[in-house]
Amino acid sequence: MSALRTFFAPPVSLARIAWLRLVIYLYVVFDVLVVVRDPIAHGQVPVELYHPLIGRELLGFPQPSPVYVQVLRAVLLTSALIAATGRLPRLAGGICAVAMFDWMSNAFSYSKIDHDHYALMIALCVLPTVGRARFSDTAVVSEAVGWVVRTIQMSAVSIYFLSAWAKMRFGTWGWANGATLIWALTRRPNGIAPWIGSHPALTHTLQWIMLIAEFLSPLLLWARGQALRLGLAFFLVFHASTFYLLRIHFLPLVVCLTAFMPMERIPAWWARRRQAGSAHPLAEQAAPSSAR
Amino acid sequence: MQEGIHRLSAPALAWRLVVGLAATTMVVLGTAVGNDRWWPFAPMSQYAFLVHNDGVINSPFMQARTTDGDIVGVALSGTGVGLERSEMEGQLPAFVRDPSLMQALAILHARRAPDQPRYTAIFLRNRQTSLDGQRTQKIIDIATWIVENPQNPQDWSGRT
Repeated sequence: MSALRTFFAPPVSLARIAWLRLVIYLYVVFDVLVVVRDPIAHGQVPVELYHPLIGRELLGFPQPSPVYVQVLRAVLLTSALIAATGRLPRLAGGICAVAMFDWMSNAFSYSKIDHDHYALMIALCVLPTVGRARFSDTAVVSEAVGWVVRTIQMSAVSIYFLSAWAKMRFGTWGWANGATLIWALTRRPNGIAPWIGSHPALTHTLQWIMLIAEFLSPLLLWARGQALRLGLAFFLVFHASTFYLLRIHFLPLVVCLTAFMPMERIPAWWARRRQAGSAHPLAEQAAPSSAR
Repeated sequence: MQEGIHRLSAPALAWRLVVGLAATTMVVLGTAVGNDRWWPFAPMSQYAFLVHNDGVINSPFMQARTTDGDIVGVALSGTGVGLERSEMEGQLPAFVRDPSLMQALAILHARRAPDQPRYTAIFLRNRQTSLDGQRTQKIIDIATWIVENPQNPQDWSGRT
C-alpha cells in the first residue's frame, strides 16, 4: 500500500497547483479561441451530419444550435479565466470541466476526433479536487496535490503509449516500414516535408524512432533529473517537428507535460538570478580597468 | 521551509485510486477494443493506419457547380462552410452510401455565404497519388448530388 501511495500520490508542493491552474486554464482560453473553433460553425450544420458521441448522449447534451454554442463559449471562457486566477477553484474548475467536455464532444460529433485532448480533459477533471492554492504555498506539501500531478502525467504518457498500441492494432506490425508518414507529408506539406517524403528510408527510420519512443514513454513516470529532462526535450522536439512539417502541434498534450516540471521553483530561481545579476556590476568594478 | 506533509486519509486515497484505475482501464480498453464514439476514451488512432509502400494516397475533396455555372471548390474549413476536410472524410462512407446527405453542404453554404451564388450540384472527388516512382496522379469521381431547390436548399422534400 505504501508503494502505491508513493507512486500515485507523492507529496508535492501546493504551489504546483497554482502554476498548473494558471497554465492549463489559460491554455483552455487559447484552445477555445484559436485551436478548436469548430463548435461555433457546427451550430449551423444540419442534423443529418451530427453523430453524437456516447458520452454526449449519456449526459443528455443537445445537438448544438447557433445560440447554444455562443452561450457555451461564454461560460467556458469565463469559468476558465476565473479558475486561472485560483479563485473559486472547485466551482469555476468544475464548471470549466463540464463546459469543456460539452465543447470538445461537440467538436468531435461530426465524424472526426483527435486524441490530443485526452490529458487536458483529465487535467480539467482532477484540478478542482484541490482547494485554494497560492503561488507562495511552496512550503505546503500535500498528497492530494501529488495525485493530481501524477494523474495528469499518466494521462499524457498514456496518449503516447496508446498511440503506439493503436498503430499495432490498426496499422499492424508493418506500420513502421510503411508509407504513413509519406501519406501525411504528401497531403499537408510544409517546409522540407516534400524532400523528406521523397526518401522512404528516412521516413521509415523516423517512424521506427517514433514508435519506439511512444512504447518507451511510460519510463517518463520513473525518470528523474537529466533523464527526465532529455525525455521531455525529445517529445517537445517531436511536436515542434510535426508542427513545422505538417502544421500539427498537439499543444493540448504539450501543455499537460508541464505537470512533469517543478514550476513552483521558478520564483526562487528567478530571485537567485536577479541577485546574481545585481552582484555582477560590483564584480565588474572590482576588476582592473584594463580587463574591462 | 517545509511545514509538514498533508497526508490523504484512507478513504480519500481510496477513491482517488479507484477513479484513477477506472480512467486508466477505460482509456486502455478504448484503444484495445473501442472506437471513436468512446471519446475521451477513444482509440489513439491518429496516423495509426498502414499505407503500403507501393500503394496510393487518397486526398478526397469537394467541388460544386454554382447557379452561375462555375465549378468552385467547396471551402472545407471552420471558416468556410463550417465543416472541416477531416470531418468530410469521416462522413465520406455515408456520402457514398447516400449522396443526398451532401444537400447539407448546399444548406451550409447558403447559411454561411448568403451573398454568393448557390450550389446547384456537389461533387465528391478523390485525388489519387500512386507511390510508384513517378508519383502519378489521377482524379476520380466518388459521388455526385444534384442540389434540390438550390435557391433555398433547406426546403426540399427529402429533409426530415
